[in-house]
Amino acid sequence: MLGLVDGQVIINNQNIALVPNSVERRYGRGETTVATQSLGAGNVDTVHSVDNTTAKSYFKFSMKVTQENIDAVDAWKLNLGANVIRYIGTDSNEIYEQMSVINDPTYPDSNDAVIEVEFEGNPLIK
Amino acid sequence: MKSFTYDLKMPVKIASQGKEVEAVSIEVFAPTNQVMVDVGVLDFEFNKARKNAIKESTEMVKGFSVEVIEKIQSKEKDEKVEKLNPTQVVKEMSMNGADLNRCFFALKNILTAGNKERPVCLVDNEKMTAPIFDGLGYDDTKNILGEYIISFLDTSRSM
Repeated sequence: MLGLVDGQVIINNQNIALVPNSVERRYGRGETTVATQSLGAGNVDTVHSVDNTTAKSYFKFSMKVTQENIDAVDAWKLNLGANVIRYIGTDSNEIYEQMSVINDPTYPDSNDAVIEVEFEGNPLIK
Repeated sequence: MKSFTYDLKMPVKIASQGKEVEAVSIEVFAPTNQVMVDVGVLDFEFNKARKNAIKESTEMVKGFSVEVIEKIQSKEKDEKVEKLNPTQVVKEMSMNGADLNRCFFALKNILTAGNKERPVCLVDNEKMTAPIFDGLGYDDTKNILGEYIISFLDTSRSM
């Protein structure tokens, strides 16, 4: 079995160069709440429900600080709700639609610094 | 600006307006100096193939009488009135020694050149990029190459 490393990230039809091992993602299935109800005589039943307010996908990665990367991040930031991320990993092809950059990225002026970009949007299509 | 539109046989998935959609056609614009090096590659390979084809046919008719040659030439003239199709162009190039790998790489560089404001190729109104090009079908790529040569390079329309 192969580990999930070094996936290819394509944003708005463009291949993106990332800091290795920096991708973090969440499918946006929503948090599940499990509550209990008593049946009496010491018996308990559980009720499961998905909190749809948390059902949004999340995609995070880091990039090196170059002017080209800063321009790309700024274009994504301004492209509110209209970014599409395709993640092609080992045996996976994930599409994240209608994504927005949720953080306000900082662009450090340093040779070993990185730009962190966080997206949120529609739940994953697989 | 001169351009041609090509309907894809195999639709390609692209990102557009925040959604992933299937693109069914591409529009390619006439070359500018922005892509002159790669257009030069296509021009060179096409003319190399044409030269080889002429050389081969000249060798074939050696020893034929003048009447026979005239007959062949008039028959060929009639055939060439019909417009060459893109598939034929690529096939003829391949048969006559053109380096198709070089041509495909040049085509990729040409179609993915430019920026969003001034693209060389649009895929359903989105700029052609390397990942989109990689998703095109092989048949479509061959046809686009042939159509590009017919539309923008081959002025004589003959091999």
